[in-house]
Amino acid sequence: MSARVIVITSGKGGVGKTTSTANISVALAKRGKKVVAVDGDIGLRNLDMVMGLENRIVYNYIDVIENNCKLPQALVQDKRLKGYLSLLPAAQTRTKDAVTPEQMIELCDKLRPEFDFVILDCPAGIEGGFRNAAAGADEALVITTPEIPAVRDADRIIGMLESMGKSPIRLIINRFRPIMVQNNDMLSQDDVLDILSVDLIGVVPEDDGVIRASNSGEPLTFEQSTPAGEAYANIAARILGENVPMLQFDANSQSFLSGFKKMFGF
Amino acid sequence: MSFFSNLLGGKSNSSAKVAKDRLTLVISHDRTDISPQLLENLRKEMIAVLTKYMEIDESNIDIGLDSNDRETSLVANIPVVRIKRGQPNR
Amino acid sequence: MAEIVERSLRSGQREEFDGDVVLIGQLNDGAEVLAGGSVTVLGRLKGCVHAGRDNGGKSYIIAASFESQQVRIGDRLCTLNSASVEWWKKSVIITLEENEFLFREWKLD
Repeated sequence: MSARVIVITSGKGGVGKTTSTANISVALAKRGKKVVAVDGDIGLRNLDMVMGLENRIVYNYIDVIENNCKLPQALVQDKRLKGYLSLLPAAQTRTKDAVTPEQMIELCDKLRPEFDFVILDCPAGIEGGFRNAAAGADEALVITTPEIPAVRDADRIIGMLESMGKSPIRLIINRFRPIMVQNNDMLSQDDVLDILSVDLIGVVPEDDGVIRASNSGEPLTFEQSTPAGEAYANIAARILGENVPMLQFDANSQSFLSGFKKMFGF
Repeated sequence: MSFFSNLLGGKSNSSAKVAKDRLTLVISHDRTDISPQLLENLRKEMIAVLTKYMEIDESNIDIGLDSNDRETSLVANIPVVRIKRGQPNR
Repeated sequence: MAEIVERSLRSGQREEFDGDVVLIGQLNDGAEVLAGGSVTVLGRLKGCVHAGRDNGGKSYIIAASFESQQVRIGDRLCTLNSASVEWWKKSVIITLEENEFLFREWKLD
């Protein structure tokens, strides 16, 4: 077994990296893959809470790097997907300069033989935290929302990922609001792709379910019956190489509103 | 969904309540997770101050952070051998 | 000889050239090109171009689609307020005529 190591990044904060990491990890694990989700945000860890595993943390990967414990001791097994999903937490009381890119590469190399997928949640920004989280990764998923600051930051981060040689680099457009796009009040999927010129791997619609899921610590893809949950499940499928058609939000189509209503359950 | 659960008598099982409970727990844990180094420095300085006024049993000192609900307390248990008379040593 | 760059420049990337340069790609918002000579962007010019850094106002800027907030030629700066908005998203050639910015339509044929 040699894992595909994917970093989930964005540049901009708050666009959905952690949510995406959690949901994609769960979705892949549900497909029978052995997944470890790694929280790259040292000092401001959140992946544990979004996954609902915060009270099971004993050790973190800085403990592993500093030889305070062995790797299996730091891994938190998710009991809901036993044997398939683990979390490797970050330290909350350290800062991002506690590790170097070289140490992160070594950590990822330790994880590679044990899993099918290593999904790294990246902190916001372009400095050390980003470099550390991205260091050990081969592939990248860039998260953006259809908003100007997010797209601009995504462009910056894509440029940096390209110069780091990460491949493939694919885009997720998050918090998409079809009605606003239809009314030309929001950048469309095509607008964003036009500017960023990268392959799109999925569009996740704005969904209140995301907040509820984060509140309860149960990522959406456990259930999949919400629009965002379904979108994330599709993204996981595409990561596995499957050809899943994108949900089309055609503003010109007569049945647009009825299709939209049906999908959102009202 | 949350509209109905509000009607039926409050936020008993709403995700917001679950969130609040989880957050309270995790933040109190974050707060008490003082680094060992910091705690050691604190301990040394406390001993230095206390020994000006009293003789204490340094080998049996217990200092730590305790957290329950919303409050975090510094709890120190320091056995005193003897109170020193006169002016504190400078 | 003009230097030819066959890729887009992303936000935060900055390239400097001594002479003329032809960019076959986009110049994204937040990207910068500085050239001693002229700059031709065969794509969208959204970022910042500074042409004629060395030879004063004799250089030009060509953009297949002009979408930038500012351009510089020599030591002159032109912001979108003073440039005519009618050139937005058009193919333009920008020159300095007696220290004033001149926008003209740029046609390939």
